[in-house]
Amino acid sequence: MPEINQKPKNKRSKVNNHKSDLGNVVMERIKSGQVKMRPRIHFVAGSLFIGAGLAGVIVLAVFFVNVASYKLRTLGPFGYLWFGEYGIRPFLATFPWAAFVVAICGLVIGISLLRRYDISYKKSFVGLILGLIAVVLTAGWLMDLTGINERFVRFGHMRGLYQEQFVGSDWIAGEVIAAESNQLQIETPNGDQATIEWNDRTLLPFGSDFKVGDKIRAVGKWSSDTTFEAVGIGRGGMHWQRGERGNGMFRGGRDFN
Amino acid sequence: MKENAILDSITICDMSELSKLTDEKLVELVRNKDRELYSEIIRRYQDKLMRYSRYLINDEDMSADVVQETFIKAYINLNGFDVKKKFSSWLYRISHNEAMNAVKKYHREVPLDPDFDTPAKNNVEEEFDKKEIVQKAHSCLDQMPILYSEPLALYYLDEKSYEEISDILRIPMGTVATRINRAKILMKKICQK
Repeated sequence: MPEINQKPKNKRSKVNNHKSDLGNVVMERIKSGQVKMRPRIHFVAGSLFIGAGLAGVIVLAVFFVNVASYKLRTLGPFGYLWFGEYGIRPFLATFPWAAFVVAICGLVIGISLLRRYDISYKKSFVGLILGLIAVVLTAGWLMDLTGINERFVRFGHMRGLYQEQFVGSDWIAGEVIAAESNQLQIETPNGDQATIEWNDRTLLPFGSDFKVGDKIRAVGKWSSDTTFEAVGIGRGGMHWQRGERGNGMFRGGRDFN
Repeated sequence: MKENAILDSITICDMSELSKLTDEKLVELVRNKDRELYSEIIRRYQDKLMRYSRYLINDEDMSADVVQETFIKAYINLNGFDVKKKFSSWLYRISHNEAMNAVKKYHREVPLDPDFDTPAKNNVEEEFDKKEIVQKAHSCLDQMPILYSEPLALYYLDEKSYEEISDILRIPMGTVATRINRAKILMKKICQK
């Protein structure tokens, strides 16, 4: 049996338990000017503010999904997972966490603002949320396809947002510029060059037939400032060539090829 | 048309004319012509809201406080009310929020028995006709969790439609129907003891 509702502690009533006084008390406060109606502009401004806020956070979420999409294709963090435990650190370092967190925050705020509208309970709210997420993800992905990020990268004040990590303490990614037996010369999209050495124990999930122009990523350790001993070398999956995608109005940036 | 004519003709409070006005027209009058006409809104809803608050809070004094606060908040925000919508639902929503705040403030327990979260059976509805429920409702409602008692009370005691209850509680109409059905099962269990 359900617990019977407990009566709350008694509190001194403002109306001393006289129902008939209730209306008089309210009217007296209205007549005396203690209680005033808020002006219409207050509510109009509030509606506009909420509407603008909702639109703003959705645009923010779309933009950061676009940034995340760009970073996923340029840095290819998932490619490092081919190397098992050796790839975890490079994956964590190159995955665009910040962009995803901002996009998710934008979505959460957007959903909370959406709750203020009647549609949130007149239609399936779960459906609305899923629809909003689908729209934001699709719009962000399409925005990235236009090549707008490549243009932004060229702007100095946007560099912080688009900071790219092609070289780390135990990974490197770039394009092969010279291939010899058990040794590769590569250049990162940022212009850094390094020599990658590999041996029979190196993990090569995509084979060892490396050619000039191949895009590769490697995990291992640095034996000198410019020499990298590879534990694993993977190929493909990276699309960092600026301007390669987006051949329309937003095409821009230098071509890495 | 007739209401518009009344609206135009009223310059000083005329109670017999006022009683013919809809709530929404009355709100327009209060907003644009005479704030003292708000007393008519209070007159129309005071008893209804007192009853509604009582079965939410179960305390006479606190209910009176809640109703008073409801009328004050409604007046303050009267310009924010969209006259195309139903005023009573808007006012009940304010009262619901005030009552819930009071409940939270005094840590009232709102127990939920998981046994009640079972799909409603249609034949249960047939066992109760409206009159029976109204008679038993007053004695049994206090023993039910607010989650179920509130939509049930709004439906049977305040005679609100599913749509109005949906607007008051801001839950989908399907959820209103489900809660009312579950409340009937719960009511049956409680009242038969």
